Amino acid sequence: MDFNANNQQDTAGERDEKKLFTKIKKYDKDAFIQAYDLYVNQIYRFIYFKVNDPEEAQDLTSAVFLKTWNYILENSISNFKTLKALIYKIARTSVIDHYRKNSGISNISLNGENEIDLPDEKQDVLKTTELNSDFNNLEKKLWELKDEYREIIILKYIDELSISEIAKILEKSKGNTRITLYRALKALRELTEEK
Amino acid sequence: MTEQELIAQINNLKTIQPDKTWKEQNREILYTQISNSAPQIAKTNIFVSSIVAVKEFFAQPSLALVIFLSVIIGGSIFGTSAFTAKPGDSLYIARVISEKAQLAITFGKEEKTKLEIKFANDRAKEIAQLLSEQNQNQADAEKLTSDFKKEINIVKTKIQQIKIADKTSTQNQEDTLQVFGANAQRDGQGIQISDSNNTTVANNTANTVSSSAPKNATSTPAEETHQKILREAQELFDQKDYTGAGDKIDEINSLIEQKETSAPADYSDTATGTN
Repeated sequence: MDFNANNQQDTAGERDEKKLFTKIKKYDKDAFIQAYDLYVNQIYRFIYFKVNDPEEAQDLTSAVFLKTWNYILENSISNFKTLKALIYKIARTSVIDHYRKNSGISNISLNGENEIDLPDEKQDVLKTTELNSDFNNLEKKLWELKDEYREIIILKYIDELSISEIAKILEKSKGNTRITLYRALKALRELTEEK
Repeated sequence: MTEQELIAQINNLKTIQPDKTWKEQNREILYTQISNSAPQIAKTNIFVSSIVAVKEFFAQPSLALVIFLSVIIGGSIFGTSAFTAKPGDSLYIARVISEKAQLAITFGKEEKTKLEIKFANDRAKEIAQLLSEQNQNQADAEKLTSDFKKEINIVKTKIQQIKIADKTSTQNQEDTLQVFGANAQRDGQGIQISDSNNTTVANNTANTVSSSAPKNATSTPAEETHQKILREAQELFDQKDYTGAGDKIDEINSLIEQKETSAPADYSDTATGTN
């Protein structure tokens, strides 16, 4: 499987993003609003697939962009090669913080490590809903995946991040990221083939 | 379901998007929030951000490589051009400075003196070469002619001065003459950019010393040889036989080199005395 299929497409977008990132580093508010317009859908989707609640996802998305701006003002951001990686990293941390504050409400995995490959309890909610279309069926199957696999599939195939960007966000090596992605896709296919 | 079909279906989940109204409202709220926080911090960090921007610009590997290559190639081109520059060229002054720098970083009096002789020899050759070129500017030619005559006269003067000095120290007399001769020619580097009036005065002074010299000292065979060669060089020059004049200068330098190889220790000692 070619995991670098979208890498060439990413290159042009990355160039524009780099220009935008340079402006934001100089505290350009308009550039930051442009970045909001560029990434709000992706970040919302990323968070939505973690919290499974549209309103909660909206609140967290708002907080993520404000946190990103404050982070840029207060910190050296030389560690982040791309703005996208920085925003996703903050989004991921925000979701983790959100679940820590609301512990007991959900048992969603925070880091994916030492996790038993069991379906999330959220799928119980989904089970109560009739999902007949392929679209809803796939979404349902996604919720059955463990958080680590769902997260990497969303990053790669829905939000179309490169392997290096995903590796940076997940704090993994590129090789490890590829392996996780392969396993996640395999697990999802097995789920979709089940009746 | 194949892997491609599965990925295509996953791609369809892109249709999950936030509410458009919420997006618009949130954009405005976000802009207000960042506007409140940005100006104060931006003002305090403007200097730092400028430094960071410059640092990032020069930290780019490709730019660093370009700068490095430019310095290397540019330096080589400039160095080569300056090394081959002739009197009248814009880089000639750079060559003179380069020669002075070479002298400054050369250690050992013997090595230094050898280098001075080499420069003097080069100078004599390039004058002859330049004067023989057809396209040489008339003004430059006149100036160089004047400079050449002045150099010859200075050499004569130096030889005479050595004779007087050698009354108290007769050892290594010939070697001393050679070193003064070399220094006199080296002085000519500066003379070449002097104006013609000064050159005339210098010529007159030099001629005076030259003409009065035989009355004050006795000449050795080596001195006579040098004087004779210098006279011949001047005569050839007056006859516009520039190549011949240059050859005569070469002849003096050859004699100097012969002396140098035959008595290097004495040569070195003499150099110390003249400096």
